Amino acid sequence: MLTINNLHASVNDQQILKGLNLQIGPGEVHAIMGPNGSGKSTLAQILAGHESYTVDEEKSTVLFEGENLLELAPEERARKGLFLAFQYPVEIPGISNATFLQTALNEIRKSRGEEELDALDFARLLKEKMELVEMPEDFKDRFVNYGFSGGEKKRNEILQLAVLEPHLAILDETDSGLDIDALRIVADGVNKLRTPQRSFVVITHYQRLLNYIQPDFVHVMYEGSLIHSGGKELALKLEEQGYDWIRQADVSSVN
Amino acid sequence: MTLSLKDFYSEEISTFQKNGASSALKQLWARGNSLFQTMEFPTLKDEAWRNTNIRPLLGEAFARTAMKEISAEEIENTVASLPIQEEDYLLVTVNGIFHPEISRVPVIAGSCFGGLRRALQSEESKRIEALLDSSPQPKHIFTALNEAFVDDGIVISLSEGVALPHTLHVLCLSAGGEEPQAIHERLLVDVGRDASAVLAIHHVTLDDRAPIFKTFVEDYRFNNNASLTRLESIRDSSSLYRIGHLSVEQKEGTRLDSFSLALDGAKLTRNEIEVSLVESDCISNLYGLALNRERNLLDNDLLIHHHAPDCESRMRYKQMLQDSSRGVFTGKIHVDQTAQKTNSEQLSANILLSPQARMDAKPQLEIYADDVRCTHGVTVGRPDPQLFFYLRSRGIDAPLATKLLSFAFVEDIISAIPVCSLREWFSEEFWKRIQLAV
Repeated sequence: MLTINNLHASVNDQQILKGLNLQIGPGEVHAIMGPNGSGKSTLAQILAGHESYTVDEEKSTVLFEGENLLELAPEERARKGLFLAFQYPVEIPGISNATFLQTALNEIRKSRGEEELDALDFARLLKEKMELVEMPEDFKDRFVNYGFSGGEKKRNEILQLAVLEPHLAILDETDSGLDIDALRIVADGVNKLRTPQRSFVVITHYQRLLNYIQPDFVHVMYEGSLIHSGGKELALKLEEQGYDWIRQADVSSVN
Repeated sequence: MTLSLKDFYSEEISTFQKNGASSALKQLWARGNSLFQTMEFPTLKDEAWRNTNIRPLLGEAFARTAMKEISAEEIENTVASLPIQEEDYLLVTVNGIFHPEISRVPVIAGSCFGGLRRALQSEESKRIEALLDSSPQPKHIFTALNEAFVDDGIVISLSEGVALPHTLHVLCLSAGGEEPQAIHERLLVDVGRDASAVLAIHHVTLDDRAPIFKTFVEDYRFNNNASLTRLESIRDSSSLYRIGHLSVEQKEGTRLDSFSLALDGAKLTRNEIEVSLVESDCISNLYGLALNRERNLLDNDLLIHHHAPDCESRMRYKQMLQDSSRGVFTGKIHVDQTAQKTNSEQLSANILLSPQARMDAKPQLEIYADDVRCTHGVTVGRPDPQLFFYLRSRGIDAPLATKLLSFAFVEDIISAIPVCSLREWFSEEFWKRIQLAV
């Protein structure tokens, strides 16, 4: 599904990712944890194609379903089936949620040679997906994220995920700022969207999200690379002991 | 050059004013002419025209238009292209002259709708004369020209308590010819005590082979508790120069909601609005929206003068600028010492869609009362790159993202239009133009 090899990236000449490696297979859920500033969100933004980062393309390779992801524009990545749930979803006053989602879905369908959905078919689909994330019906007519609470914005990201049905979804700190009910709804939504083909990267600070979304792999990110990987028990250990033991292990292994 | 142009227009005025007319009209002509003689064409050195280069307009001599015949078919097609419902009223002018045979005039006892010349000969003539007598004095040479050339125009006079049941459309057709031509048009609106109406003015240019110079002067009077929604759709041509002046006088408890929506701009548009809130408890909302293209210039020059306490006013003007177009916004709020508890909001928001486009926006607040709330804001920028990336990350490519964000930018103004059929029409027309342009 996704193969990242020796990913190096910087912003404003500051090196952020320093040789990151990651391999994700179909249907797998990978959690990436790590302290602030370790480069987790940078990784998410780079995979989605944000242009403010400079990727060292001589060193780095990123293959998404066999294709060189780094050569693709953000919209092409989305059309190929990559989705980023934003840490800070933007507000778009003037565009309704329904219009936005119908446009996005139809652009993706068109690019795949599929027929566009008309208003009626789309309304039916949207209703079904909104129920999945327990979103009140009137949210379809509200402007995208405009005036939404933090939790509603995150839920709206999951709604988009549900409608656009990507092959790989990256959730960038989708749990931050959520109370326990909102967390459950978001996690339930994600769990319902898990399929043997669809893969997830869940970036989080806290182990608690992983109580709801069971990962197959947990990686620890530190200073721009993944320095430690394990199963879901690793998350529990991080929760109990923090990151220091890995840092020390990392330092000692270098020495 | 300027001098000889003035001579040209003086000559035109004296020829025109040899025509017969009622004494009220002749008085107006005389005032217009004498002001024209004492005034000069503005230059970039005049503060009020500092960002508005009118030299191209002064480079041609525009003769007054002759009567122009437009085929019934062409008028029908134009009417069909507008959001006019079957039950709506329609007043049509061609180059400033009212055409009753293609109009659908409301018949309401005591009220008066139609051509100015006819109105001055009707039973309502005394009232219309009084309105003409008290029309505001031209402040610059172009409105003086308009006054010196008033031939006909439209009068709308709603008598006390009349609530017009359907939208009243005024279709102003501008048809040029093979030579540069001038059209001077006038609209007089008097809304009686407790009366209300929705008025939609549509400007359409039909024949633009040669340049057209159009002046359009609107004069609105609001009697106590009157209310009016005024919508203006502009479909001009790049060979047209438009100078518009709208003056409004609002008495106690009145409300104006005005929408100036420029779909297709003229080469040069100067839109002046002057609102006087002379008595208390008035509301005056001025909305404006324009999609500016090519090398066109649109200058909005607005003044709301609060004379009386407890009034609310709002200016909300938005421009999208493409190509090498230019926009100017001057928004003045004047609050007299007597106008306590004034609540006034002003916003000029502008999006530059091309590096060659330019916007000059200037808020001007003059406040002499101490217990007031006045806000103002000006934004000039490009579409927000964060929003742009968000849309692209959902599979929407850059051109479509620009279109969607452009439409989102104008949405609040369109959704403020209170009549559904008009709102939907404007929404579609703007979307069509955004599709073509961006």
